[in-house]
Amino acid sequence: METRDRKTLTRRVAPHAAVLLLAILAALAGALTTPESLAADNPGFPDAGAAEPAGKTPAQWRVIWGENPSRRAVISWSTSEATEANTVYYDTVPRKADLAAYRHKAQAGVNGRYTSRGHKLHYHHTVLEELAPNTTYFFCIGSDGQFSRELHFITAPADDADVKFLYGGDSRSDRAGRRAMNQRMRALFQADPAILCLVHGGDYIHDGDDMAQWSEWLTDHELTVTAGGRVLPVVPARGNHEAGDVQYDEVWADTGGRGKNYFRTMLAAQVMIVNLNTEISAGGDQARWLEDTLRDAAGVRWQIANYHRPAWPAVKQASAAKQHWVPLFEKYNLDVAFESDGHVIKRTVAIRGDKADPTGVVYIGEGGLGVKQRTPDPKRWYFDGGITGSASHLQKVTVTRDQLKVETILHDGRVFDTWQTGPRKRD
Amino acid sequence: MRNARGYGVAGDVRHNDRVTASPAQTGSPAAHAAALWVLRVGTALTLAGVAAAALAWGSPVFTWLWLEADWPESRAWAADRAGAFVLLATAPTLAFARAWLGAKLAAAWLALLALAAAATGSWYPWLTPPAQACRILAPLALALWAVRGGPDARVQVTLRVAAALTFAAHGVEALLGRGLFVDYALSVLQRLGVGAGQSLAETLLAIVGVVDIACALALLLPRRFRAVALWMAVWGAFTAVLRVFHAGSAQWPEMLMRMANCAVPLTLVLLWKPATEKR
Ligand SMILES: [Fe+2]
Repeated sequence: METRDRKTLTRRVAPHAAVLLLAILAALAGALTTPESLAADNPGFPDAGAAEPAGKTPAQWRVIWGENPSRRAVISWSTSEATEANTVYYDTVPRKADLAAYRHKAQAGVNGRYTSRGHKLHYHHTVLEELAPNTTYFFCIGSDGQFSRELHFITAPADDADVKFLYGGDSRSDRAGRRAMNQRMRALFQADPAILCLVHGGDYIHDGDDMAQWSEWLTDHELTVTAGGRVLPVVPARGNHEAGDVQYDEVWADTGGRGKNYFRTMLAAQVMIVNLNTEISAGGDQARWLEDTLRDAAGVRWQIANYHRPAWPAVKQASAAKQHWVPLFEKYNLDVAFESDGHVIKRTVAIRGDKADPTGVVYIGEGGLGVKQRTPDPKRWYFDGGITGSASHLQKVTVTRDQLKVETILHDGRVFDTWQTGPRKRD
Repeated sequence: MRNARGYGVAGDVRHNDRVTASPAQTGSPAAHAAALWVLRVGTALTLAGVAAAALAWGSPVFTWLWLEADWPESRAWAADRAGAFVLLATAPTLAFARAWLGAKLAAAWLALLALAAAATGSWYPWLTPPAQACRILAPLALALWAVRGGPDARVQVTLRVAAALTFAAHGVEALLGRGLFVDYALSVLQRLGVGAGQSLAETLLAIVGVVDIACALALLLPRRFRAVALWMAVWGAFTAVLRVFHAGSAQWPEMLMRMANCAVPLTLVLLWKPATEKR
């Protein structure tokens, strides 16, 4: 009887024991065959930050650029408390915050409380229009009798001028890293006043509906302001971490249309950036708009794309950009596309028709403005002739009449990679 | 008495006449055997797809361990790969009813993946776990089938809830106008030769969403709507294949991992086949 019981028990237990052994062996095999990690260059960044907004004092000031930054800019800021009178005083000469001396003033046309259950913060957006191109505007922000210091920004040129700008994405999950990268941006911006703006590739914060996180981001953005008070304008794109969140439009003043957020930015007469949204339909209205925009811009010398989730990723899988936008980039001979989301450094070989082709399009970026960096997959075919890496980084883009140069700059200021190209023939 | 209907799946794990006598059962032994194999194969393909995707692109568990739990990248990566290998190892064990532990292990890892996706995801992340209910509950249903000695009421409720949750979550995503789904709708319309604008695709998607949710609700009613389950199986297969059809063959893991969305309702279709022969 006992033997029978034992036999039954064995019959019952044996298969599970076998499965368990198999699972353990499989887990070990999986873990032990893990490719070597680059032990990604994630230095512990020292912390340094500005103060959170308090009361009615204007804080988290920023300049937002959309379609036509040579003529139009949005000056935005936050106050902790709700305010009635919200005004930007501005002029083309410094007035040292003497409000009466500024020749222009504009009311904030859009004010409200950021959507949030717990976090109390208010936004104010003032549109400045009919600005003069390539001109320094000094401004002072006032909310109910509380004022910012005098700040300034320079509008984009409207003629065929040389321009420089910074590109970066993914500033979302490592606040100390983000602050360090913002300080790196400030250092570059201060050292090279020809830099016009930051083109952001999306994923500002981890939870796009969390205003506490947005507030930290906005406060940290103040670190990009130069010692002399020059503000680095932002050209924003939407990332998956703020995919469906209304807070994105509250922060970025509906740039590119609420919820749509795709638009072109003319940084100069011959420099166009198409900013796309990978978090909505890529193939519908957006693809049609992209095709129209690229077709109509055939005469523009430099054509650049900016969007979040990559068509040619270095770690994850391709987004819908590959299917819907890449054929258009190739058809209209885009010069370079900036992509984020992967938390690595990458530059692809020039790609056309799913293979390396010197006439094709190069894809650069993958996001390193304040998020831990991971190990890329350099074995993907499109990195044969390209580069990959793993460190917090941004791109500095220099555009002249005969050259477009992209330098990938690390958190410590080292240049990791330089890529350049000449103008294409388009007709 | 037990196994009289030929389930034979649980071996002699447990004698339970209630199981075979359960009013939840209909159908011939052949139909039940077919149902079992459909569920096994569908689940195994799903496990293979999930594992392949994790090995190629990394899974949400990696992201969660690395970014949220602050593990070193190499360790998070090793854990992710270990899980993927376990899925691959357990896939063949689904064929052996007595080794139902394999199905449970797979279900546990799949549940972890869904939770990690919800924790690290961005677009309505709370929709991810219900959307993945089929792939999580399919191996659990297999384990339950083995333990209970047949597809008794409990097994069938598990399958019904799995399909209902997956369809309801996808229905909600469709109604919310998920960009990827809009692109699928556009793609289908274009291939059908319909001059497709985004608004038409969005309308189509809204209809799909309502149908998905209606199917989910119908499946939860006490009455068995076999035709509804059949539609869900067809739709589950179609939407899985659409991944490759729409975005290219490199997306095959995405297609495979959705095979459970077809296999679960198809299992119900087979289980609900009216019995024609007498016992
Ligand atoms: Fe992202």
